[in-house]
Amino acid sequence: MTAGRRVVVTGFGLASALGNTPDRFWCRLLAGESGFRPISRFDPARHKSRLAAEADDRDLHFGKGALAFELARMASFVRFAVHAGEAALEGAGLEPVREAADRGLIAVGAAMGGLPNIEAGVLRQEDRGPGKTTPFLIPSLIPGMAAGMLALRPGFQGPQQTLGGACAAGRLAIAHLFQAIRRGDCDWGLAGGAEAVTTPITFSGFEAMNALSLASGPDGAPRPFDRRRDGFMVGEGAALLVLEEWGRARARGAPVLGEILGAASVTGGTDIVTPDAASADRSMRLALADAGREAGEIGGLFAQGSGVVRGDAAELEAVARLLPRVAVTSIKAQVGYTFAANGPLSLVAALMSLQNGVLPGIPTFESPDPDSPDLRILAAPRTCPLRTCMVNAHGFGGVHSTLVVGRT
Amino acid sequence: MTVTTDTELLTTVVREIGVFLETDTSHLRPDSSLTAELDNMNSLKLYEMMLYLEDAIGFSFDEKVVDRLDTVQDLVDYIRERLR
Repeated sequence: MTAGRRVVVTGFGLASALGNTPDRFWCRLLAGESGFRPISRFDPARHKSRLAAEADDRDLHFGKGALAFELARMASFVRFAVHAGEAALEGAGLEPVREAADRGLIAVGAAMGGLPNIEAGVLRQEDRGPGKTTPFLIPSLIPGMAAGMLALRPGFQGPQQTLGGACAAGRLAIAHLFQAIRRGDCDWGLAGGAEAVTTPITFSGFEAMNALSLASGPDGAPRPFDRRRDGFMVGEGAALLVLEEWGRARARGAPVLGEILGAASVTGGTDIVTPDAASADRSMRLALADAGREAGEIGGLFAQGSGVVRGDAAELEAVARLLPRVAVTSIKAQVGYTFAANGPLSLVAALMSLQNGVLPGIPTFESPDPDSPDLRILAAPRTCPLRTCMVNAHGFGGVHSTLVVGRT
Repeated sequence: MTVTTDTELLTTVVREIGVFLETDTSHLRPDSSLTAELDNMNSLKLYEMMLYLEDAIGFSFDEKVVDRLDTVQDLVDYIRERLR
């Protein structure tokens, strides 16, 4: 176990295809509802994959912070992040401008940033000419603008950081803040991830990789860990969490929604896009050691479980080595693959599971691969006494990362 | 959009600036400064506003002119010239 200060979660907010509040997200997740609908952001007729789990961008709520004009022109991932982050701060009862700036940190993960704005900007440039590009194009799409807006709007003057790390970016941002508070570098902060890339070039790119599920129709959804899985499906979303040093949170009477116990991140494998079983195993073992927990203490695993054939198989191989009797679930069948928001949304689901003593299932899971190890993959919610959960998030470039969270 | 007189064009420009900024612009006069008398106006917003006005009023602007537009009348005169 890594020595240091205890770090608790005192607020979280989110945007997702299942709703833009944690309560709505949780209720619909537990009810097994699907966030997948026909793509509305563009005409998907030319693409093989025509469904996506889009978050409702008409249902975003922003406080009275500055830069409202600019926020309206930001890419969706920025707007989702600001909606989620401001809700998290409100829930935690924190006003960044009233806090000591040098004791706070804002860390946001973003994988592809404003890809839709890039694509639209290129098309407009070719259609109207280079002089007709909006001056807000570049600010709107840079990955760092989510953290930037979260810091600037409420007048936060401390450090802000943006982390890459592909689809583990949001989870890495949370671990970064967790470790900074644990070491004593800061006392509080806001961390998470955001992504919204429902745009034609995303689909062209992933279709070329044969990575997207071809599921269609009203019930079309990916099938994490199921033997019929055929790829992931694009989702949109954000989740931001307020982390605080435990004593400080207790002293100010903040709501304590869970505790971050440990984190680990490793690089491994020989492929730039496919997770590797040995590395996933190593990441989970290191996170357990960091948390000072034994494998037998884990009550549930919120897996990467995206529905991709080889990636899911590699993760299950790692689970079979370390957590063969642990209940395994994934939220991707309902909220889609939300890239940098994968880990943060799974973490919110894990925290709500710990609070409520129930793990959500994977509604599209029916049966595992014929040669798969015998694991406890949940097809339906399971009520159980939960004290500790694990959250995995992997990303292109060999990133394998894990968080361990507990009930306080 | 068809605008026939300078007064009509002034009225249209002031109205469209208000639509663009989502604010009341009824205080604007021909000699009003495009920066000092519009809340939080800056060079990015001014360029963005020109792109908006281009579509709303139906003219084409040369990006080099943006730095030379100081007042509402400057803008009206420029648009009038481009509409010809």
